[in-house]
Amino acid sequence: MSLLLHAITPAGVAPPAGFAALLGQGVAVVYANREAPRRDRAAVLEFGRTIQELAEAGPLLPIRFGTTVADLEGLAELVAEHEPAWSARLRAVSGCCELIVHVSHESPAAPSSEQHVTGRDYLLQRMAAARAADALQDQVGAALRPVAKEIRNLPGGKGHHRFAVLVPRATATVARADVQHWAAVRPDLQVAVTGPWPPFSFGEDVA
Amino acid sequence: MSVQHIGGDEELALVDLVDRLIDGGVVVHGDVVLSLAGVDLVYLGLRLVIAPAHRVGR
Repeated sequence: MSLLLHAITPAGVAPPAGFAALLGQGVAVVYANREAPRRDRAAVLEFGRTIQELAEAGPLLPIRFGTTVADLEGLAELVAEHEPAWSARLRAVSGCCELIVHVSHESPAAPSSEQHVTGRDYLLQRMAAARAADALQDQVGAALRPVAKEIRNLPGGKGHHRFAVLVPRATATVARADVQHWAAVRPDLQVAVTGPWPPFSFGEDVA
Repeated sequence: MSVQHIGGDEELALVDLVDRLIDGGVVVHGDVVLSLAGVDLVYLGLRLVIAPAHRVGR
């Protein structure tokens, strides 16, 4: 039987029923005695429910779904190695939650094969589109910065940008409203906000 | 994935939750780590969330 890791919390936080915690100097890792989970939506959402329950009790760093270790000795090694970094991140996310901001815009259509476009012109168009995407990211970042403690870019798609925004939990509603007010003056963009979530995207320092 | 293809706020929120659970979080590496949901789960998970409910489990 292996240990399925769930989250890192400050030491002293009681794990929910059915779970245990290995204590370090100042942090604890909440785990369950079970094998690696099934790789299906139900298992992922079950894991998510546990994370959200833990998040209601205090600050935490979710561990990526599906992480298992062999035994408590191995887990203790991980805690000893990572505790200073985990403690620092717990302090950074304490009292905070994550919002995810989606920003979509129309992307310029790629030239069709019927259009007579030189290779040079095609590359210039592609460069212009890339610069426009970068400029949009800068604009969105500037709009979010007043409400955010930290911002991370998440993978998106063509014409679709996603941002993870760490905000104080007490002002999350205000932060959502601020984003939507900003979006109201940008009819060229489609903006959506989800959350609040536990700080999934802020478990590691990117400095 | 485009926002226009997501049907409603609840579905978008569910996609975000699954995405962050399997592609976010603290990543722990090392000899003691037995398994870690990887790229195939990211793809599989997103497909399951976006697909209609009666297709879950295929």
